[in-house]
Amino acid sequence: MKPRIRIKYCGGCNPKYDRVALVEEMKVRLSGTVEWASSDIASCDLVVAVHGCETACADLTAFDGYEIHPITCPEDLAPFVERLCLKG
Amino acid sequence: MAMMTAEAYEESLRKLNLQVYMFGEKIENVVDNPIIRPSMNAVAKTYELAHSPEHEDLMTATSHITGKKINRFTHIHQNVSDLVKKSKMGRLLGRETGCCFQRCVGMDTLNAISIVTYNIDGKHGTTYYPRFLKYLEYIQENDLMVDGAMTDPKGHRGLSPHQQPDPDAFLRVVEEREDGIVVRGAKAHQTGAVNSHEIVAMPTLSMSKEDADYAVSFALPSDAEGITYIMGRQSCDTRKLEGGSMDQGNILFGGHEALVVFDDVFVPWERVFMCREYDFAGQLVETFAAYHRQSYACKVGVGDVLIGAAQTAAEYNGADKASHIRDKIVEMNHLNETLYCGCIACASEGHKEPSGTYCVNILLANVHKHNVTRFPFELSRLAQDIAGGLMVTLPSEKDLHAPETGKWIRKYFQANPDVPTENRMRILRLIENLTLGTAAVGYLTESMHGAGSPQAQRIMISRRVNLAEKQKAAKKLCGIAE
Repeated sequence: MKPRIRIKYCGGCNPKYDRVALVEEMKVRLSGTVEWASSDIASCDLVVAVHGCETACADLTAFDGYEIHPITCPEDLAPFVERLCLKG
Repeated sequence: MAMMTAEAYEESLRKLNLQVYMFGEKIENVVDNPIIRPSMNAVAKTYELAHSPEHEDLMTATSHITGKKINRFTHIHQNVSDLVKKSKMGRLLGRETGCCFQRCVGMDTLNAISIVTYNIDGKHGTTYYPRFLKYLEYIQENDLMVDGAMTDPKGHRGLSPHQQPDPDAFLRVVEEREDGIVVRGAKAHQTGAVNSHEIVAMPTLSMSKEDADYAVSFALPSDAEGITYIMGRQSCDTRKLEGGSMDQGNILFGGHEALVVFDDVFVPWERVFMCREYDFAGQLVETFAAYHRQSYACKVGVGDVLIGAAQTAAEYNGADKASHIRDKIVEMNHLNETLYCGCIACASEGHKEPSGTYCVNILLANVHKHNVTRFPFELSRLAQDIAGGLMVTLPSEKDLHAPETGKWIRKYFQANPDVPTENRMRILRLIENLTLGTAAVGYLTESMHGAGSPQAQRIMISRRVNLAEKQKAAKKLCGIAE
């Protein structure tokens, strides 16, 4: 069964990279490997917290009890994708 | 009702019956007026981003009244995190619009009144706070844009309100009825006034007993009978009437200010939040000012745009590798991030008021705003230095597109061969817009005088610092025993 992933962005006050472009790339690279959850947090297996910088201030209080994977820079993408592909 | 979309916001404005005048004529269609519309676009951005997954973390909050998700601009700060997010939201929107997005003043007004009405009730046994909460819920539920109106015309600066030759120089209560009050006067420099659903008025300075009629705070629908708006004009404003998409610099967004006249306007009691409690006028002014001085976080976002424009102009000029240009870009970033330090610091050092509302650190908010009265001017000087004189001697867009002149403009104003002349002209127009065009109203003069002129911050700084403790520290280290 494919894991369902929910994306949670920080607010993007002064991001050091294009967070939306990174998520688009993530979706391409994980195509067929995972399912993407909408805002219904009850149905996701993993929350990817996409922070615009290392301050990592996205409010994750709604995701208590969920596995959360933080991304704070473009370099965080490759190991995350690799991990999920290995799992799959 | 859910949070409004940008489209719903625009449609809601069309339903208002505002009495707006500009260039001596009544404006029948405010929303589509080419001079006003860019400012409406900027406010609309505050609605649009609240629905954007990549920005909702800053742009939305949970109402402490209803528990519902609301636009942060209608939120009462419940903790330090809310205050920090407010600063970050200001930077975000400043960078997205490159101008004043006009909605912070309403947020600051609501927060200040939430603190002061509670305190008035505590001293005088009034019921302003529950009345305010009911009004706040209406604002939150309908996601309304609020014009926070503080600055009176003020007449003779050496005289207090009751001493003025014209008693209407400050907004005042002229009649008290069983069902409400009647107010007369005006509020000047009202940012975003004709893009607002509501006006919330506050006194403009501390009041004495003799000024009691002027100690008044209330809310009105922006199209209430008796309210007239007279638009202020901005440098280069009529470029927006020329058509085209280059000479106005920022082709998407802008700001506006208006003189708002209250000609014997009736306010029902349920919308009155202060009536003659002159002993709280100063507290309301000081609290609002602290919040609003924090709000100048937006200038950091506009600074981001100016720095980006200056770097781009340097590249287009082929000068970006020059050491002095690189150093000037570093200096611009240093100044801009120093501003950011202040607005984050005053939020991070916030505290809880008796009403439960969190307030910024007032000393640090004043220090931040005082920096804002200076640094954007230096940032603008550096941007103009980097841009070069062509910024102010460029021919018009129409000349660029005219067959007789366009070929010469393209030939002689080409710099970097990889960059079309039109792009070079566009970035120079943006710098012009920010540093001496319509956006300079917000980026420079508003930075100077908005939320209080520099002297107002210096007074607050002198009041708030603890000089005695500093002296004690110094004396201890050098062995002075007293």
